[in-house]
Amino acid sequence: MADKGMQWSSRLSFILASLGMAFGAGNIWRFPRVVAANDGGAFLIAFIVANLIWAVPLLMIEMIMGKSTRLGTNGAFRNFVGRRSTWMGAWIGLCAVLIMFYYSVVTGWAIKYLTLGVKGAVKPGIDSEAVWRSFTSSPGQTILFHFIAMAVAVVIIWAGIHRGLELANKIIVPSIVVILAVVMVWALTKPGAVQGLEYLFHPNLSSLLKAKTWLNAFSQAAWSVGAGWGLMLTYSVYMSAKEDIGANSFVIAFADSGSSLLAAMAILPLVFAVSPNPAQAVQALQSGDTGLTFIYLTKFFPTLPAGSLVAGLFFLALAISALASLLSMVELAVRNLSDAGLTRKKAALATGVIGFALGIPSALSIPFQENQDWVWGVGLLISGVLFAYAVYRKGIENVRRMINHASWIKVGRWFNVCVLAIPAVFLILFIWWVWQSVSWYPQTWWNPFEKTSPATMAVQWALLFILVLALNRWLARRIKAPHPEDHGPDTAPPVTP
Amino acid sequence: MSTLAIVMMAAMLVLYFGGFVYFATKRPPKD
Repeated sequence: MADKGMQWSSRLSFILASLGMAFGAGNIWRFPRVVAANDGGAFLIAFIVANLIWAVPLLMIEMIMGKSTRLGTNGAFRNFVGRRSTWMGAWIGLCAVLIMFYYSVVTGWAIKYLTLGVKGAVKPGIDSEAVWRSFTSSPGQTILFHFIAMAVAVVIIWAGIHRGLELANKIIVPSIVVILAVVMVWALTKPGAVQGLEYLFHPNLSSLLKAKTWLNAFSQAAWSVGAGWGLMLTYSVYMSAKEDIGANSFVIAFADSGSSLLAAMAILPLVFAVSPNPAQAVQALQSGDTGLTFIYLTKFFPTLPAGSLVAGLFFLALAISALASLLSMVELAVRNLSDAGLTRKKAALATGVIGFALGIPSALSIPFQENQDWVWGVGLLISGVLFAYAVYRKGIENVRRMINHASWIKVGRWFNVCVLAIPAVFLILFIWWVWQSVSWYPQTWWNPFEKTSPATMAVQWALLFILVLALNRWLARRIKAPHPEDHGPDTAPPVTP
Repeated sequence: MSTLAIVMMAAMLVLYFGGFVYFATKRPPKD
């Protein structure tokens, strides 16, 4: 259980840390591409609706579970739902930790490109494809930068809540906003950049009638805000007793969406400004996350005045936003290990060593990293359903009252409807992604060794399910904090009638 | 940039950042 002294020092600190958690590399390199591929303006409306239906209720659920139990994912499920459900917290925690293994590698890529920017290597004539190929095919380099990312994260977490997490996010989050604003203004002064804004905001509202727009909006909402990952639950362990849940959930969802919009308003004009013609800009936007960032933008940045300098700023924003998200994943692991009796420093060290070791396969092989991104990215949708299940077990109306008891705004019965909708949304998204995956591999979708096949997902999920179910009783016993039934009254705040 | 795109941009900025400001300025209810 978190020590009484371990609390965010202010509401601002909590919000900045949560925003650092939510705003990651995906907001910079995925959101602009997805919004551009889904008729811009229409997608922006669908995305905010998806956030309100999926992300906001899940943020509220995570916050009430973390705040009321003061335990990480395992302990929160044990105390909030019951001993038999500890495995659900373990699934959620391990899913996030499995993402941490390869996310540290991705953070390392961003740090590597930041160093290239600082050294002035992003200059006119750069063969960006050769630079990317040379870097990713050099195990010493990818492992070194993965190590640097994990080491920096562990040192910050080691330093504690106030001098580590809080201080880092107070520097990182405002810096990201300022850098994106600078990149946006710089890009908009360049010829052709306005076409990027036109591409982003063209209001083709008939797209709201297309299923694809909504499926992409819900997928982006599920991954972008970080709701249902267990990360918000972890940060809520350190909320002060009087801190709000309702308004803060909306603040985090809107701040993450607003920052994503700012990123899109910086990246799309940038892509159009650096592209020799609009057709190439559109082609670049279809070249995938790493293709767009590390190959296309790196190649064309230096062709514009002050482009090398802006490239450095851009990679700085990418590196620190990835780092802030990595911090929350490390903290999730550290919280669970601390609940099991390890000191914070030992837990941080253990997470760092294990995270570095198990991230090495992703550092050595991009296909392996993409496989893990596929398996555990979609696995996060299951985590969201498990949070909804926790609420069903506790009673949806009961949980809504608990949230209202700890909120500065009144959360209406729409919350109940959204919680009931979460499994349906999961099912629709899951079927859609599996259907897409089958269409990628019409002949070999059943092969678990195929990179992003449904079979690889099913096999790895099954292994994790077997593991957490088998360890359920052991995990429940390992948590040092008492279970509510051991002492009578529930650890949750009193429910007002 | 077309007028419709400018209107859409203004609407989205108000929606995204207005929502943030609205909830960020919420304070605890007075007992």
